[in-house]
Amino acid sequence: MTYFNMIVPVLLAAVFFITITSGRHKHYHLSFALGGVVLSAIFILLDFSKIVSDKIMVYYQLGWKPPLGITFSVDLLNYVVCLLLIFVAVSALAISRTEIRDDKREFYALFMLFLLGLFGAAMTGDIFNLFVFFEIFSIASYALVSYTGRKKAVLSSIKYLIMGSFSTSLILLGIVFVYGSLGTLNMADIASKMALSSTTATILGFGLLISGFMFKAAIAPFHAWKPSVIRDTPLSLGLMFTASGTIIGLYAIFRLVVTVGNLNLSGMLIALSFVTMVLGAVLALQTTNLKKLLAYSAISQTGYVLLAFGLLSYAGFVYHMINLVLIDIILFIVAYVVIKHFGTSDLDKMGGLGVGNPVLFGSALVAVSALAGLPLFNGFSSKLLIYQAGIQVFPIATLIAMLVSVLTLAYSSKMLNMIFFSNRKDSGVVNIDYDLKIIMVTIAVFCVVLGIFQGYFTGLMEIIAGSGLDRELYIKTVLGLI
Amino acid sequence: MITYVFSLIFVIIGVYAIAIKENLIKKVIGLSIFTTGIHLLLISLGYRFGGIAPILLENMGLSYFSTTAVDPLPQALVLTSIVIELSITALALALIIKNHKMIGTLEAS
Repeated sequence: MTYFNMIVPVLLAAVFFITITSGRHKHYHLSFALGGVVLSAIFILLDFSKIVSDKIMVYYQLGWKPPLGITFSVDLLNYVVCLLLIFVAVSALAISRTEIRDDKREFYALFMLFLLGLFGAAMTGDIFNLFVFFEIFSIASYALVSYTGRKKAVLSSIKYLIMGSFSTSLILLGIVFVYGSLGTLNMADIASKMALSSTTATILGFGLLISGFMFKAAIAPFHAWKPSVIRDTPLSLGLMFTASGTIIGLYAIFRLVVTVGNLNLSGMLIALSFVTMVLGAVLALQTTNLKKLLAYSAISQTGYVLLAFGLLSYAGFVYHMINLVLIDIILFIVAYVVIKHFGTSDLDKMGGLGVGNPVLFGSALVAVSALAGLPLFNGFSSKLLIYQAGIQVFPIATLIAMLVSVLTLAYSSKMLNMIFFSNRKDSGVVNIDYDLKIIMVTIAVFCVVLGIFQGYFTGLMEIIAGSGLDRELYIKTVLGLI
Repeated sequence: MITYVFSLIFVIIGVYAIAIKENLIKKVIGLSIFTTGIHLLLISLGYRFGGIAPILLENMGLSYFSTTAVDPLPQALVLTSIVIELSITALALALIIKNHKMIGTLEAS
């Protein structure tokens, strides 16, 4: 037992300091960052058997038990989020290897800070600590958006900063209300006091917290920052924002609403998910910028995850969250390779890669099929769960989800057509680095496997989601009552 | 009670400045006022009129301590939050200076 939930944030903080204090023009910054991520992955995997047998792993900072001390509590749900973060981080680092040319030290140091915030937010069991970790990765992301130093990037970084720190201030305001009404900050302690002594102020506090997290996950009324940020940043960062920012926001909402609050917000979540899904898909259909299209597509898929949540299909929630990350990784790698080849992210100026690029085309085809939810791919398995839940609870939801699926097929096939066929005859063979190729093909295989063995994985997702649903066990284990 | 009213006023002024003002510096000032309002609300949760510092001395009875000492946790939270807000303001101002050098304006659009 190594208590990765304590080691990983400390390790990443150490790598941050090592990177930021190292020589400016040396070439080992990427190795530091990769080393930090790989070591984190090893520590996380070492505790796998422990998580499976104990269900929840709790680390008490300095030995102080809750409600006095800060706890880091990890169950299967956070564990899966941590694994996904590792996947995203490795892929983003692989893209950044050839993408990032200047100021490597600053880039990788901030990247580590970003990752530290994400992991900390995924593991902590204290809402104020959650706020602090959200701020850590937000501050790193504000600085990273302006990394290229171009005019547009700096301006969108400033706008993102103002909107983003407004939303994190909302989280702080929510914490004030929750602490004022319940007198505690520990999630398990809040959960145990929720049933007896929650008041209107508590519910208001939860509402503010959730709206703050929705900003990070880019859910409908708070999605406006995402396309311009993704457009102006390098694609390695775009992947981090889209995939990991979204899952951490969704995870935080799930943890607060289900495990901690035990609130019933179905109506609100379904309404928001409709807006998010439809808006994302429609905007993706009309844009001709590849980066913006990926951003809108991610917003639309986030709507699906939220719909699964609203329909109480928690297995579908976890399943689609995993699929969203896998599909995003492939699409961003494809986009990076293609944008590097054509030197522009304008879809109108692309085309003709369909001949002579079987690996690239195959991976893109898998990702697009999964995105549109065609059978035999992972997107179908998770959408099926959402449809089934919809038919039982609220049939209109299934209808709208299917309609958006058609829109998804439309914009993703538009993207595929414009990159690979279009009017051009032949645009030559694209040069793909080996690491990117390996990651792309591996993830594409995952997509197919998750789609074919649907029954098995649905059971697995139910177990994972179930660990987030078991409030009794969570409260008792974290408070040390067992 | 008066502090609650003031924190509400601060929050409203902050939101107004963030949403309405075009000048980026004014937006950052608005952000600062907004967070200050939240800090005031948080610190007044732990305030107690005529309270003492939450340090238990040897000759102090426990009941006296628990009825007069202020709640130390909001103060710790506010300190953390002030540090975060300071770093965000510093980063925002640095970016605004960079933006001003490049395009020569402080307007948001």
